[in-house]
Amino acid sequence: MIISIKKRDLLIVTAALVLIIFVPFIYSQVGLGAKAGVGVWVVISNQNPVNITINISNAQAFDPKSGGSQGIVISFNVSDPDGLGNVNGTDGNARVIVNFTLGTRDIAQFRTHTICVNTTYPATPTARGVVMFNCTVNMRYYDNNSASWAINVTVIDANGGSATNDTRVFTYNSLASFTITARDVADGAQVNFSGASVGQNNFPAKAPILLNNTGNNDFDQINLTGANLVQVGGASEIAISSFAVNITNNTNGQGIPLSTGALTIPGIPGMGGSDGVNPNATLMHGPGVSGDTVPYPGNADFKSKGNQTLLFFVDIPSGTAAATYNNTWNLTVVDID
Amino acid sequence: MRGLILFLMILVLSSALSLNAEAIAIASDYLESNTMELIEGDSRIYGIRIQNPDPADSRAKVTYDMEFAKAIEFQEEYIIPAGSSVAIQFNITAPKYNKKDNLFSIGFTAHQLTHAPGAGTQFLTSIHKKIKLQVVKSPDRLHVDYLSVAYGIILIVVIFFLYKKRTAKKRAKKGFR
Repeated sequence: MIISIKKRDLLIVTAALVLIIFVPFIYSQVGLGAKAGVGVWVVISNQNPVNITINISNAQAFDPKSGGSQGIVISFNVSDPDGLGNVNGTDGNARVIVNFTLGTRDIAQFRTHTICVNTTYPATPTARGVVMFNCTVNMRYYDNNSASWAINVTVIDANGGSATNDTRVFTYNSLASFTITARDVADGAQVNFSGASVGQNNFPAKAPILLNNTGNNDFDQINLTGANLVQVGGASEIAISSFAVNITNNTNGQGIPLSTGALTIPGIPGMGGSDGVNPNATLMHGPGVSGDTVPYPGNADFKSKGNQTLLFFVDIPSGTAAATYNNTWNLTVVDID
Repeated sequence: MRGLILFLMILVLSSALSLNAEAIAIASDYLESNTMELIEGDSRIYGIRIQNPDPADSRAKVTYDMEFAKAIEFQEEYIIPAGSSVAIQFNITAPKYNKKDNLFSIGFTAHQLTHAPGAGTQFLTSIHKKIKLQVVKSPDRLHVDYLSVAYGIILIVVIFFLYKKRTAKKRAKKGFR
């Protein structure tokens, strides 16, 4: 397209174009269309904490503590352009949060710090000033073993500005661990048939035996190797086959007879491990009898796991001498895979 | 005074009985899927720690499958102080790679040798644990698949015979001319 303009009109056209270009400026300067309002000036005076350096390598591993808590200390340095007093607690409400998390959001296991202490290292000519925090997180014995426990450190300064570092992971090792004790009575770890009479059948032990899983491994089998009970101060014996064990509260049934070979204690239909398909009695890990209020949901029925009851019965053969008998039996828990 | 002493003795005895649980524990290095992957011929250290959570010292022994594992500075018996642990390291060595048989199981058992004092039938406890050893083919070694070689030879022989046959036919045709 060609636009031809006469020379005499060129000046007028140029002036018109300049005017059009300056219309918005003129409009704003003369106040046409201006609305009354309040000018707002935002002055950001606080800067978020920066440079959270976690002093732990990804390869670091920790052992769970049998039946207890393992305190894991996370050490990290924090600096803040507004001054170290802004994060070390002297300027107000500064705080830190250290979380460990594992797994997908819906069933994630997590732990939060129980205590944090800090030390301030002011700047020197060669080094920037930092606040070093040491925060302790208590991991419980039943928390899952994994190399993917994520460390999440959040620092909130005195003015509410925050920074996060979630770049580090650590390994929580495996722990195969259990205890054995008489259930509900202070009888130690022994099975006691006191009160049984000669010729009596299906006589239950004074208290069942309780196995507590005090680690984070699952046991797929419980094997029991028995021995004849031997008369204390005498030569009589009660054959091991007179004793039986099961995992139900069925006082009318003896369960499976013991032997001097390793006996794998059977489960009951639908209640074995491995989603009910394991025919053996199992000892899965979980908070069970710990009395803990576990902060995370975990997998289905996880919170009820962690213990197994063994019920013992005896038939006292007629002709057995009235006396005290004892011996030692071997109990092995097996983690197959 | 005598009554008070008797009361204290009974209290101490009761406490001892209430702590009288058998306990054994083995902490071990974490392995993804409980499996150690090793290139054939390579070795790696795998560590276990036997813990004694009881308030008294305990004795334990460890048995293990020796085919691929060898314990370092192994002792017949370990004394584990109360509330403490003892470390044992195994040197695991992968055998030669075999396509059909490259996943092995290594088991170890910690046996408690002492039980808490007391009358009645007591238990000695033990824990048996297994890890898997996955042997991986070494990229530096030449692996001869004998079956494939045999198939290859058969194929070459067949091709050779077909070629000979065809050459013989051609010669025969030429001879007729």
